[in-house]
Amino acid sequence: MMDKNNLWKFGTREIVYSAIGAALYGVLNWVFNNLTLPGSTLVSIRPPVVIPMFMGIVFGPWVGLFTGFVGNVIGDLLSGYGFFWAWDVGNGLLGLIPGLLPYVGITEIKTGRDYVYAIVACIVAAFVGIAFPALLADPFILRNIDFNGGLTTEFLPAGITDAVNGAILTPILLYAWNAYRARSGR
Amino acid sequence: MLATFKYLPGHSLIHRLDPRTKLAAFVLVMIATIVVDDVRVLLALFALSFGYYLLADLPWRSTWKAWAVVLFFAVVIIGLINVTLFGMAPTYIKSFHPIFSFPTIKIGSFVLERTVTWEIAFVGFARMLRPLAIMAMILPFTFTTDPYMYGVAFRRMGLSDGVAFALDLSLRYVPTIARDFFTTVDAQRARGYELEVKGGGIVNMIRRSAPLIVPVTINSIAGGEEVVEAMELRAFGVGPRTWTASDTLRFQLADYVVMGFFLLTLIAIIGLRYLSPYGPYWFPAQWFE
Repeated sequence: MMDKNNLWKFGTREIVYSAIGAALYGVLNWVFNNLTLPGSTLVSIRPPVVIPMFMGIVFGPWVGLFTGFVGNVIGDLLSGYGFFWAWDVGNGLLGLIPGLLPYVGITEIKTGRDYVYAIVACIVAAFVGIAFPALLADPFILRNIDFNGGLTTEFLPAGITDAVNGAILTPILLYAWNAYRARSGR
Repeated sequence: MLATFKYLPGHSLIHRLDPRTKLAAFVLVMIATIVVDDVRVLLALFALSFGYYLLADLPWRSTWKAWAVVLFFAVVIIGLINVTLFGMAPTYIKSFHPIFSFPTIKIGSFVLERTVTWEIAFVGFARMLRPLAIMAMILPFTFTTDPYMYGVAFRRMGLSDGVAFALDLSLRYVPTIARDFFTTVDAQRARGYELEVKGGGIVNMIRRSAPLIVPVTINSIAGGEEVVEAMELRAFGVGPRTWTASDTLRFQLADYVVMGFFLLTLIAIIGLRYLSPYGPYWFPAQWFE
């Protein structure tokens, strides 16, 4: 994981993991796009949202941001859905916010307390990330929906789904990552 | 299932445009849709955007899914749900032409009344036209631009070498990761794994996606370490990167014409919005007298 001093570094390692994260998120989004939640707008049940959150925690905020933003673009390109920049930025925030964990003193996810912090960061990221397109961009920048409409048809269904996905899958992925690191010595 | 981008090679005018021109045209139209609420202006803008889309000569079978998504968003979410439940006419509009009213809900002293008016409907029409105009501009970009040119195009637009290379690399990783994913799916299915279990609920479905997501993620990251080492051994990042495809990107006359056209359109719309007496919103009250 990252420490506070080189948190915002974007060197060769970050470039490669950003690319892997974005491709992974794009492909998984494309695969899981057909699991649509009834009653919501363009919101699918999207377990892949764990990818930018995980990449943010493990490789830092830039990698998380890139994974979420570019991965969402790639997923839409593969699905043929066009380009929704506000949702791409929102997905970028899903990765960036958990990457800020070192600012609260969490540089390794080892203890139960670290996992709790990681889960809370993912839940916060889910709601802040979705708030950008649903409560800010759509009602006030693109002006295609009212604030209340954004709240009920976009923010709540997408925010809750992403928060549940992040809270369930991020600890599983972090645990598997720690096991892999211990085994490989990395 | 093959992970392929929806790029469709061709020889249309839009295919020949520089990717930067297509992005600039998209951004200009997107700004133009934001500055007005006038249905007439947005209708004209949608007609222009749709003309641009038609110039790309894209087959319907490739783009119908994107249109279905945006039509659902425009008609159902914006038109039926948002406008009827939450839509408001601009505060300076004093006329009131009702279409229908919802039954009044009374809970103690709390009374909920809602009447949908033609004034609100005209705000709704304007809002429905915005995503349609934007979609008509972005589809030609995504379908007529080779994804492997994105990195070069963004580098030429001023993005750093690192970010442009990461973008390029991510697109090249897609087929490999898609192949690994479907190998994992087959391997898990051979062990009796099923993603959807009857009566499992959403939480169970999310939990059950872990056996697919975890191995693919860890495997991809593990492979990444070797790529990092290989790049560092070749002194990646020590000097500026050479982009060989960069020479193929040059603005032609058509690029200047398209950018100039959409820039003038934006200026005209801003002028209409701020200089004309009509203001941002239009409602033909005389139609409903």
